[in-house]
Order: sequence, then C-alpha cells, then structure tokens
Amino acid sequence: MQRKPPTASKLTRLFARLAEASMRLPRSRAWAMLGVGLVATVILDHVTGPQVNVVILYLALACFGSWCLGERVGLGVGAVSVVMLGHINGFGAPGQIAAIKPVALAWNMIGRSLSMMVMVALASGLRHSLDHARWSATTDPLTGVLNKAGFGRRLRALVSHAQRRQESLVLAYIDLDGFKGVNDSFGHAAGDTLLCDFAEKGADAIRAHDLFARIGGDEFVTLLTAPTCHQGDVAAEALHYRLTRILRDTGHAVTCSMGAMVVEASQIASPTKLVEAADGLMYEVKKSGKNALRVARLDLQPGMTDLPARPVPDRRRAAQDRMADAA
Amino acid sequence: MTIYYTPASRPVDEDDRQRAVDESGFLEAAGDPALDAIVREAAELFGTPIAAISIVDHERQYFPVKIGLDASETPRAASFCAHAMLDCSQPLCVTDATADQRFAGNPLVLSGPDIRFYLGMPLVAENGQPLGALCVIDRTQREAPDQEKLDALAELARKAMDRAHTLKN
Repeated sequence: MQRKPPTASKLTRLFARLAEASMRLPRSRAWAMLGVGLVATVILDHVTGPQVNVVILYLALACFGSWCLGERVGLGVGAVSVVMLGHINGFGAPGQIAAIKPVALAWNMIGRSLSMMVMVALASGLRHSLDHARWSATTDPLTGVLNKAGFGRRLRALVSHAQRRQESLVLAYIDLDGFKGVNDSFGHAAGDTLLCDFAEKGADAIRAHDLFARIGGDEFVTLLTAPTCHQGDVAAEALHYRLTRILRDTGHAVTCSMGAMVVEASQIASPTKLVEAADGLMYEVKKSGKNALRVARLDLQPGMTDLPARPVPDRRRAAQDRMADAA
Repeated sequence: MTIYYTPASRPVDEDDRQRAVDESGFLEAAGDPALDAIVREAAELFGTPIAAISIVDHERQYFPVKIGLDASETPRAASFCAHAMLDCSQPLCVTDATADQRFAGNPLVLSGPDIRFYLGMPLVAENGQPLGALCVIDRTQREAPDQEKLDALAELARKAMDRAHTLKN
C-alpha cells in the first residue's frame, strides 16, 4: 500500500512558509534584525514601564535568535531579556523594590529564565530536526552523496548561478559496467562497498562546488562548471579517466560508461531535459561497447532540440503501467 | 539529431606512457627545423593543407611543429591522434570525420580547423610506448591512401622519432 505524507493545517502551512523564509536569511541580516528588535523592545519596555507586560516580545526575539543563529545566541538573548525585564519592571523604578519581596523577585526571575530556556530549546530543536529532515531527504543513505531529489534541487540553483556568471556546464551521466557481476559473484555487501568507495572518491575527484549524486542503483550524475565549453571537454575527459582509475583500484572488473553534455549555461532552457539527454548519451555508450565517454558539444550545434533520450524498455513501461493502475 | 564524439580512452599504463612522453624530447622541440622539414614533406606527400606532429601530453595534445594550424595545442579530449596512438600497429585513417561516430561531433570537426580527412601514423618510443602521431589533415573528405604512401608516412614517422632522440641527447 502506498504511504501518504502527513497532512498539515492551514496555520501550520503558514508557519512553515514563514520558517522557510527565515531559513533563507543570511546570518548578517539575521544579526541586524535581532539587534534592532532587541533595542526596540528594551525602549518599548522602558517607556511602558511595569504597567504593560512585553515578555512575549523578548520570548519571540530569543526564539528568533535560536532559530536563525543557534542555541547560544538564543540563550544570550534570553539572559539579556531576563535582566532587562527585572531591571526595568522589577527593581528599576523607584518605589517598586518595597512592593516586591526578595523571595518573590527570585521566584519571578527563575520562572522567566526557565521559560526562556524552554522556548530557546524548542526553537533550536525544531530547527535541527527540520535541517536533519532536509538533509536525509536529499542524501543517498548508502553512499552519503546527494540523491536524485537533492541533485534536482541543487541543479536548478547551480544552473541559474552559472547563467548569471555566463559560465559553461558539463552534465555527465555515469553508469557502472559490470556492477551486477560484483553483486552476483561477491554478494550485495561487496557491491555496496564498491558503490560507497566510488561515490566517496568520485565526489573527491571534482571541486567542492560541483555536484556528484547517486541517481539510483549503479547510476550517478555529476555537474561541473567550467569557464568555457572548451574547458568543459577537458573536464569531462579528465573526470572519466579519474573515475576509471578509481574503479580499477577497487580490484573488481568494473568500468564506467559516461555521457556528457557540454553546454553554455545561457543555452539551458530545461535542466531536467539536459539530465535526460546525458542519460540518453550514456545509454548510447552502453549499447556500443561500454567503458567509454561520449561528449555532445551543444554550443557548436544549432539548438538543443532532438536531444538523445533513453528508450523506455517495454518491460519497464509495462511495470510502470501496472503501478499506475494499482495506485 | 544531436551530434556527439568519443574522446579516446587513456591507456591502462598511462603513467608509464606519460613518462615516455616526458623523456622523448618532443616537448622541448618546438620549431625544430628538421622536424619542421619532416612535417612539410608529409603535407607535400599527401597534398594536404595541414600536417603536424602531435604529442599526447597529460590533458592536451601538443604540436611542437605544424603547418596550417594556428594553435600549438588542443584539449586531449578532442585529439584524433590520441585515438591513432591506441593501436601502434597501423595508421588511423578517417576518410570523412562527419560520418565517423567517434569524430562527427568533435569540436575540431564542428568548428575550426574543420577536419574531414585525417591520417595519423603513431609515434612510438623505443620501449613501445605511444607518444602521439605524425598526422596529415584536410578540410575535405578523401579516399584512403594507397600502401606505398602509408609506407612513406611510416618512414617519416621513424625519422621524426630519430630526430627527437638526437635532440634529447
């Protein structure tokens, strides 16, 4: 049976949108907002005096700090808030000290501190579990590199970044040749070790801001940026050689088939189409002898129409249809 | 239909091959008159506008001597000679690059120097390691040359190897 994701109420969805926006805030902006908010709150607290309770504003600021800048910042804001609350409303104004007994004052201070700490911990805990959920939704659990969803998300961002900077991109689709043989002869544990090894060293073989992802099974995809398409060719060839060496060093008879689209970022209308095209090119390599690289220089060809695509085998199509029927 | 090309795979013993390249003397032979004469002779023999000695070096192919080419190197990925040197026993002859799956989408075919015909004789070091090729290139497709001409090109390749050897010592 298909498992459905948990549903959310309208209020929850609104809150999630706010949280999402705040997660995109640069740290410097968050610090500035926090500082301005804190000063404004202290002034408001001072002006209104003990008549009006502004503890909710202090709490909100502590939560904001904890959410955007970490638990320590939240606790710091909380401590400042407790002191200011006490100073302005508790024993700051003349005539107030006599009204509140020291025991009651201490009780109030401890209560405020504890509630601050609880709120700060809740905010940072929520942020952590959200970050963790995102991480696991975009990470391949076996190899620790990006998964398909993570790659898709980062791909769109990187393509528009490269478009702004007028760079070129290499999108390479990689499929291991002979991997099934490793699984069959040495067991799935050996196959998994090989995949992990390949993913770890493959991701190391490219630059930190380039992408390396496992799409599924023994299929990987990588996105490299290059100043020009000319250098894109060089990067694709060098990468295929490095990956081949990594596989050779595993001691198994495994090689890799690779299809690479080399393109000026400004040419890209649909990143998804580009991935499919690289997949199609890889499939061509598979059909004609494996263990090779094919490169399509899209900058030297008229338009990106009629990109290669992997034909869906009848068996797979039938399975897809069955699944669609069942759903 | 999208056109693509296949960069030559690097040999399994690429590190040894690279060492042979480093020690060959070709990398320091830029503009050598004797090698230049060999390349000129090759171009005249086949009547092609382009001829070169191409040495496959790390991620580039380097032309210590050439005629009809502007660049002194191109990426290894686009190198015809990197294909030619994979089989040292015979020359690589491509009569029409646009009709060959390995080369149709090659940037050297799709743009300058617009290679159509390519003939490359592998340059092989004494220890058997291939270094690159002595090649002649035309911008129009051609028939495959006869054996006599291939033998003459092989002789020129041998002369080039001898010259590099002399330069090194």
